[in-house]
Amino acid sequence: MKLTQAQFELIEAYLNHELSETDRLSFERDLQAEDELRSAVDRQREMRLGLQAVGIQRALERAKTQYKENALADGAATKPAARVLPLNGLRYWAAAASVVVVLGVGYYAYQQTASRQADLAYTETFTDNDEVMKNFPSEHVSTQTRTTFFEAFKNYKAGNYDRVIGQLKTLPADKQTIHYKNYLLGLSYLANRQPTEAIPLLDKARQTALPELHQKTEWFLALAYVKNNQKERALPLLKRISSDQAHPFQSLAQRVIRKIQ
Amino acid sequence: MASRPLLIYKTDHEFYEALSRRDERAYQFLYADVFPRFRHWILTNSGSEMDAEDAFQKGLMNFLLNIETGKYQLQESARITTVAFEYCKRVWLTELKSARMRNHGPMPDHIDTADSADVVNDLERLDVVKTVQQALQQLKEDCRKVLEWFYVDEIPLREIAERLGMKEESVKSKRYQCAEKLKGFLPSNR
Repeated sequence: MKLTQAQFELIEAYLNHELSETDRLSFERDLQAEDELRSAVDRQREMRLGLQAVGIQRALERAKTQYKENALADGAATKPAARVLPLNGLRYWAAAASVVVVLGVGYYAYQQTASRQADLAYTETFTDNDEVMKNFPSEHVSTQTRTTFFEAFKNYKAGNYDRVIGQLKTLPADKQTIHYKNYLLGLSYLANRQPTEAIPLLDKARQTALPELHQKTEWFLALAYVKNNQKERALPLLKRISSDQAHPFQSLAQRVIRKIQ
Repeated sequence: MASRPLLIYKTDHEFYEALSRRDERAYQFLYADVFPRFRHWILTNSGSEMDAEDAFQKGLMNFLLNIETGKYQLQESARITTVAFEYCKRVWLTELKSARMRNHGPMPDHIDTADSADVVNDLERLDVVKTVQQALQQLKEDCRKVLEWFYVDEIPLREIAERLGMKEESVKSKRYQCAEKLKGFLPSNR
């Protein structure tokens, strides 16, 4: 049922308990009599519930981040020792991700459908980019550019994705830093739940000659496709990653493939 | 210990009120108080680290949504943190039960899953929530902003109008148009 604005506002007022007693009773009589109206109210209630949940989820994510930051400051490990024992490949990533400040990606963490595994894999690998930034070029890059990148990276780690986007979007690109710029921007859009914006940037960053940056970009690009419901584009990438034994995300890619196929 | 902020609310009633209005400190206390215990419980009940985070998020989400929608009312006899723990615990037991049913395996004797209907309803509600959130991502930036400002951040229309340099009535129309677009992305059988 396509609502007129007057109908929309009436339903809003009803759901906000803003109708007078007489109007409410009259509206409820209409509700009982009209299936279509009842369904429109249910739909609007669902929409409001979903949006309300976004607010709760964001507040929960902030609490989670704060908890992990405090735990780090205490020096209290929040993960079991078994998690960090074999520091090779994928396990290194999982272990590192468990102690690095976790960013605002839990929005996806309670999903139950096919993308759930992709989301969990995403959460597991999303947070550790220290290694990538360690390789950030130190020559032929102006101090100002370098400072901007490191400030953006700091904001990224703190979960201030909008700020990262603001900082990097207008930063002039050069050969030395273009892939870092696209990568960090792409990740920030992805964390900001804007996979459509993330995809072209990660796709460009994938052209980098740096193997580690290439592998990470490839992985997050695949997840961005999954999140954007572009399974047909995600699958070839995931298959390639899952067949490469040297790829740090091989097992995770296999897990995501099992869920989306 | 710094990872566990001091409880600044004198009574559970104050704590409940703070959670109802999404007070950051209340959320932080809830998280820091319940998660370590819940994580330990999951690890001793067939779960992994990832299961702990997953079930914890779902459980708290259900609990906090129930507080905000009035489905959960403060009870004198039950501490809030205990109830929150119970919500998370039941999510995990329900998932465990469903996994055991899929695999035709028996449930461990000590696990009681008698009253899982409410949890299942709550989990189904999370599916609805997820659908709406996915639909939100399909909207253009301007629409998403207006809906998020109004419904998520609870910013009054007047203030949104100021931010956008528009008249309040125009923002009201935009909210209507954007909400209808959002609903258009929801599955029609809902």
